[in-house]
Amino acid sequence: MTRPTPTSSVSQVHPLPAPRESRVLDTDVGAIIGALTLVVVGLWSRHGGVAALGNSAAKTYTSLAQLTGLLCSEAGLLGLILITRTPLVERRYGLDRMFNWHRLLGEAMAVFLGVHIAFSIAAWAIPTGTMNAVQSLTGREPYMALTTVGSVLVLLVTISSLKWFRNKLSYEMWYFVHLTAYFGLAASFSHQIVLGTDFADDALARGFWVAIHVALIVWVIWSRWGRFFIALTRPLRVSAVTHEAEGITSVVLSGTHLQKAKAQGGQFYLVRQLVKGRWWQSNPFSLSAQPTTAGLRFTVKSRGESSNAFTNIALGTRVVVEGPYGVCTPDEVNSEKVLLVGGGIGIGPVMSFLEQLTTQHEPIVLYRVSSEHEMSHVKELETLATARNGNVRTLVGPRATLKVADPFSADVLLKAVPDLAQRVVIVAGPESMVKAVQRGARAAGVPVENIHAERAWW
Amino acid sequence: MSQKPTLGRQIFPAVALTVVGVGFISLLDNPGGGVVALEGAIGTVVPSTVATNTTLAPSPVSPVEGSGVCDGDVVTGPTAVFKWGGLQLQATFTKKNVLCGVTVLNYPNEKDKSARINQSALPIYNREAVEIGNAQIAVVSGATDSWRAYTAGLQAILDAHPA
Repeated sequence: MTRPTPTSSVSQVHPLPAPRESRVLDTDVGAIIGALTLVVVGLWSRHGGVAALGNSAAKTYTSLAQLTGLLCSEAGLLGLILITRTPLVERRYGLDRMFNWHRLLGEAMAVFLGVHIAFSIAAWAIPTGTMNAVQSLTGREPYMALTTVGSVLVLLVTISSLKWFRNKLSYEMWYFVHLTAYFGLAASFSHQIVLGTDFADDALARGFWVAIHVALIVWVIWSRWGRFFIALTRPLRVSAVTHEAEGITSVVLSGTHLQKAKAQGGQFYLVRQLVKGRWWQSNPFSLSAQPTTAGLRFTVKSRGESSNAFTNIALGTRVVVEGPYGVCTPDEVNSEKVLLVGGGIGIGPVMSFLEQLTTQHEPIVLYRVSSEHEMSHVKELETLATARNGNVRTLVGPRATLKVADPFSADVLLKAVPDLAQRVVIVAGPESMVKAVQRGARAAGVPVENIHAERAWW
Repeated sequence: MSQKPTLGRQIFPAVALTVVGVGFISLLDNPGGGVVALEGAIGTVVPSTVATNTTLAPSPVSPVEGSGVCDGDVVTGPTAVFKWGGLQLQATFTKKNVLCGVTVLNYPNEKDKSARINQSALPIYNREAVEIGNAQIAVVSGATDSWRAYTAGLQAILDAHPA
């Protein structure tokens, strides 16, 4: 998109344009995953994998070890593509879903890895005995020591990502454990090429396998780390800090780099302040106002230690933003009317979303907050909603003091919003509230595809 | 979403990628499940007439004998024909019909690479087979095809000569 060059020295403030829509289709993703699986299984079968099944025990185990090894690699490759956050995919599915799929693929990979190791040891144990097999496969065979380290790392990463375990780790701790997965994958590559009979004996298959790994490395370096380093060179600065309510602060980030940025209400950024001791932490913060060339506004609640640091941030602090991410944007709405539900700090994305709606959407905002002291932006919300032929309803108080058991049941929602079934529903807030609204809205007759929310991803 | 994608746009990537995938797979090396055929009869010779002519070009693979005394049958196996040529084994047994030695009579050596691979892998297969007394040996990386031929050939001998 070309922008007219400013003729005067006074730069005009205008909203940022929306990021381009992704042209990737579900069928494209299916085709790529399907074709990769076809090639992987075909490769195994062509190399005698199927023929070996049910032959002798050693051949059957070897064959199954090969198949699970290949599938393990495939899951790893696909999982890696997802965390490149490549806009092509992100703009279509959203970072939240990509991270959730990444988790599923990671779990699949761990299962394949376990089966692969079990069958490999079983196959080797037949001629040499279990102890010998374990010794061979953890060190005596070429590259197996390296591979053993790699698989231990992959298993560590998987364990650290299990919900139960992860809740005990800080995000940063978990993240840095997670980074070792890169090394884990790299370490296991050598044994695939040297020992894996599918690649050691077939130059074409080996060429293909090396090629897709090299392509992936380039993709990861560019899409994940390249973008990250570019973001580092283009920091924004804190230009305003406003205390909104108890523990709630709005921070505006500005900078010349915004002139070329694209973003929309409802999206979020990963935000990192370049301050000693904090530069390595990044937080997902939602835009709480329509992004403009004048600045990005985020409304932050001091909860964890790191977001606390944002509420006390000094003016002029350099802040690096990666993004924007998220597909819960006004693009999801055509001409339908809209219901926006914001819970607690979730009112931030609701506001930036609301700001981009028009009078035809007649937006109704439900603002759920557990205490009056935590209410923020009420005036702003009312101004925005009224200007768009809509209105704002608030529901204040701890859950136990409410008149109804479930404030988001279909009955209650329909009483508050009689034309609910004709509306597109946008929800932002704590996971439990999002689920309650989704349940209530569906029961009230809103089609699933008209209910939009960010999925919880950590 | 802006406009609905056409059916062609939805189907084309899947069709194209499937064609490319199938094409690629068909280009891959196909060991045909390993051994193409076992040719020639299995011959059992009495110990006294053990053939000494294990003349092999370019260099013979040293036979391996187990700890037991090989005073039983000497069995010449069929030639396992596979992608790179033929592999023929001769096995010796003890009086109690325990496998105690394997000699490679023929192996693919038309190409230098074949010869090199087999000269390094076959002695290992021989040693392992004698050690464990059957054909369930581990594969040496880079010599999978030979492993398939070797195990097929040895299994044929063992089947014809039950312990």
